[in-house]
Amino acid sequence: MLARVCWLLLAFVLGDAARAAPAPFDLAGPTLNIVVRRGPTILPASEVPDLAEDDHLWIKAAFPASQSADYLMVAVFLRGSTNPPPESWFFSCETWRGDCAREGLTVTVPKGAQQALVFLAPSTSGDMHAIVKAVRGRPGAFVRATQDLNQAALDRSRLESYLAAIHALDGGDPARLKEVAPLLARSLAIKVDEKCLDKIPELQAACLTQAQDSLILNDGQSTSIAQALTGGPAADLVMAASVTPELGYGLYSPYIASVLDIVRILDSFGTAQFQYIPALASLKGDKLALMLNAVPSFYSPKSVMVVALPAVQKTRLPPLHAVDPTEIYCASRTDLVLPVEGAPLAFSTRYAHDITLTLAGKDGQTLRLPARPDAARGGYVVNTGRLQASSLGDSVHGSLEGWWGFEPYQGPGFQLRNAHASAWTLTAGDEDALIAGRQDTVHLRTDGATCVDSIMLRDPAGKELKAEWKPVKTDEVEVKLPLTDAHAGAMSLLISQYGAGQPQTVPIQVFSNVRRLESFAIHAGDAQGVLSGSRLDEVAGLTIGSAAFVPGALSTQGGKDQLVLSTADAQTAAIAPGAGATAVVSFKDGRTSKLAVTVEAPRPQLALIGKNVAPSQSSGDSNIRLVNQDQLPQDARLTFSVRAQIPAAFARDQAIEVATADGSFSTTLNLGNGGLRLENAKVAVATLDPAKAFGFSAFGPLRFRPVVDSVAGDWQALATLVRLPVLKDLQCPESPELACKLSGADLFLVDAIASDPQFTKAMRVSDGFPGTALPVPHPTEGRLYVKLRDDPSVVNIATLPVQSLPKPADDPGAKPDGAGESSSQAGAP
Amino acid sequence: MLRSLAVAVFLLCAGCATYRTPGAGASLEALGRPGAVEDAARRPSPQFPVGIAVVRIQAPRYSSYSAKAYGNGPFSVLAEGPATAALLREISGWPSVKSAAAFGIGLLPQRLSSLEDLRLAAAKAQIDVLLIYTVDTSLRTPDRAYDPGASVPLDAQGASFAVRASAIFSDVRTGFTYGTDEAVVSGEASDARNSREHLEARRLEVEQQAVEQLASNVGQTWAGIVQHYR
Repeated sequence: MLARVCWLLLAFVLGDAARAAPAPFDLAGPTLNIVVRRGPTILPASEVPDLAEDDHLWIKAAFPASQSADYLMVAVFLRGSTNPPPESWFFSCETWRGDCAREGLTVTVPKGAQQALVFLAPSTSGDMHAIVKAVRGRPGAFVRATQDLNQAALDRSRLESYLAAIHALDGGDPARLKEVAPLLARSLAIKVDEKCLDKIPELQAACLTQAQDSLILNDGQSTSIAQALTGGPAADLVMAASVTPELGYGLYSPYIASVLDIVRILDSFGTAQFQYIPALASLKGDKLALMLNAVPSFYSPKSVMVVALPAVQKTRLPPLHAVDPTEIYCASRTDLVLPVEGAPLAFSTRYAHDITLTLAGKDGQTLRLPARPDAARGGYVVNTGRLQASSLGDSVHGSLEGWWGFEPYQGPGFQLRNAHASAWTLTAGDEDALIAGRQDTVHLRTDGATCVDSIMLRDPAGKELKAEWKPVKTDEVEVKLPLTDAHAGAMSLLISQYGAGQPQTVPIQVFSNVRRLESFAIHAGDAQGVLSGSRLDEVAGLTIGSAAFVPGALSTQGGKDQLVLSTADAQTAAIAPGAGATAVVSFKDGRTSKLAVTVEAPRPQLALIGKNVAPSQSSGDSNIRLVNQDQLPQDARLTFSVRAQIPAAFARDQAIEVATADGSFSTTLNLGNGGLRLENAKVAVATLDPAKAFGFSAFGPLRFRPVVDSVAGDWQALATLVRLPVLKDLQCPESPELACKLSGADLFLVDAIASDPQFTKAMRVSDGFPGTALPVPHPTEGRLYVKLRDDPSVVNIATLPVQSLPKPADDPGAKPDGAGESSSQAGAP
Repeated sequence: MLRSLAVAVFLLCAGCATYRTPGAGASLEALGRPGAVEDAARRPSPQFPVGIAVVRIQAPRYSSYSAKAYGNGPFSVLAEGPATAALLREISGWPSVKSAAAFGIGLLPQRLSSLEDLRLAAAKAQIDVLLIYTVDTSLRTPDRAYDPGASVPLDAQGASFAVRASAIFSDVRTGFTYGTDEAVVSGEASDARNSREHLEARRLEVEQQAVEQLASNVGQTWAGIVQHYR
């Protein structure tokens, strides 16, 4: 079955590329009013992600008052692909007369049902019989149609939420759009082109909403809801199809692939009497507005609208999680936002409802504060109004709780603090770091800095100036003080907190702006040194002989400035340690001062002798042969040897630090931990196990440097760390024009696959591809060429035995009943 | 002779002329409202701003001189009237209310068995909260209390109406009861020129006063609900 579906899908997307872009769902259809009752709870369909056996459904179609065509509404339950539903599972209702027109249709989900559909068919003789025959004749196709329709509707709900938010912001503050767009992207799993935010404000919103359908990223949550009926592989292939060359190398989203699949399936049902057209359900208040992508026909074959209802299945709760579980939030904020991600449908649908932030007080009392999702703010916004009157203590744990459809939902937890009077202190070294005449920075520490609302600087005359501040840790804020026009003396910082009364006062001392030079220290051979003193922000440059140094980073500690100065002149290497040298410091006002230079011992240095990569036992599983010796598989072991340069022999405490290029992963190899072994006093052999040292997520260029007495040498390139996907099976159809199917694991680690090393006909894998199968070109002489995500500059070789992919001769969709054979099927090569 | 007979019949009929008291109010408990334990297990599902529907229910087979209720079962539903209109006027000024409407009985089944029948019908009309109220009117003279549906002589002296109007806020989705309220008002019912029309008009007048008092009370309750759940 899987092979058949795979073949069909690939045949369709490859063979019918000319009409790859599906017609948009932009035609307004009728509205469905659906209410679901389960036990004592009654919910509108807009809040129901899935149905259950014995649920009571009330369905009523709303047509315009002037509606002239009569529609028969038929509710149908299905029970899987291979089991036609009994005729008793078809419920019809004449929407234009009788009880149905007045009261709608009430049905109960029968036992054993797995899917539900609603048909809206123009009234004609034999209409009900034709629908029953079509569904019972090929239930599997309608099962697929419900899955695709539900998937597309859920994906579209995210896009609509995104567009609504962008349009609401259009014309407003451009800075706000720049701030909100990334939050919307995170909340709704929407692709945002960051280049749009660099355009002029008038063009930003238009840019952000271009190519709308392709903005929708794959979302595991909606896929898991929609694919439950077919167990997964079909949805996987839908997504795989979206990254085929014909569908734009991943430019198109899985949404488009779903829509294409729906159209293909329903096209195959055309008869002389009826043609079936998909209707996507879009939320309109509590009702479901149907959107069409084809104009309904009232001439034969008449158009039957096909609407998918939620699947009959066990509820899958949303995988919502806190963006930063370690963050502490201020419970006293009136606009408290709890950032969450991982479940876009929580933002784009009403499936999550009656969500509250549930807080447990120290007295055991539970307080529930209403919370609502806000994609533009990146989380749940909590109304903390009732907190003021409660006594929950300074620190409290809360969690988002509520309902997902009919099921109780327990969401992520958060640590919160209430504002309270606590001691604020300047961090060590900042007490005497403030110099009058310039903007200066201090750090304030307390036991909880999450509730700061504003910080003001009060000068000796009592004048208050607003200070810029930002939290740097949960217990620390960084404050930039406007001291440019200030005079030395005692001042104070006034710290206002949400929910607190009077601001708290922190005394500070501002010193006079005396300019002073203490020292300039540099390691022999280095191109940069550190100048110490005060008011070093006024330094314009420094020279030693003919070597000119320019200012870099300035820091202040213990009332003393430290300024890094660097040069491009190699002459500094000639300055020997201990040699007397004099530097000339020039200031911005044109004055100069002389200063003795402290030349310290040169920093350590090693020379790389050689290296060897020992692959792991499972390295053959990937079926990829790395062609570049610099590539280091993540599960391999790297052995490299080095020769001591400076100092001339290895010291006992010498170490080698190995790190990724951005420094986010690093490890130290030394004699103590066995990572470094001496061959003799001058040569050592180092061993690195990247998987153990860095874990799975490290990748890219690795570098190393020697460290002696806490003095580190320069970085040197070592290898490029790459993670390998597992390529298991390659199945190919006979026709070379049809794509092969490559199965495996961790396929997101592949950047692109081609049949030739020049990548003239390549298949690029989209970011974050979670599937287990990819359509790939036929191999050339048994070889496929692979660029890895971690190092796409190198073309590696994959060699797999080719298995034959059987042609689905008995595919039900290929030869529809009666007239109207699908052009997409017939045209497939 | 014929004239004397006609006069005699007229006097006889006048002497036995009566006014039938209205049916009783509904027992809100009889609605199938959950008990305290079950109610605690139910949950509020406020969807602010909400759509509120007002429905007046009465005892089974309720009828009065001027109205007749709909439905069979443990309660009946009285179509929109002046009392309901008074409540709707009050609700239109409440905070966090998206819409307020009288309950349409078109979606109700003929057989009414519990609160769920009302909730289901309200859900079909996209209503979030039901304000269900009932009016229990009794008529008494200094020496007798008349049951609902009892016949009262038109010449009964010193008659008065006592009206108790009660209401509950019910969550359509879950059946959770947000709050209850009631108002009690009484008023003189008769004088020497009693007639059925006069008594009926007077009853409606006293009931209107009770409902207006109830409207004021439920307004305060609603403000508390909004503050707590919004």
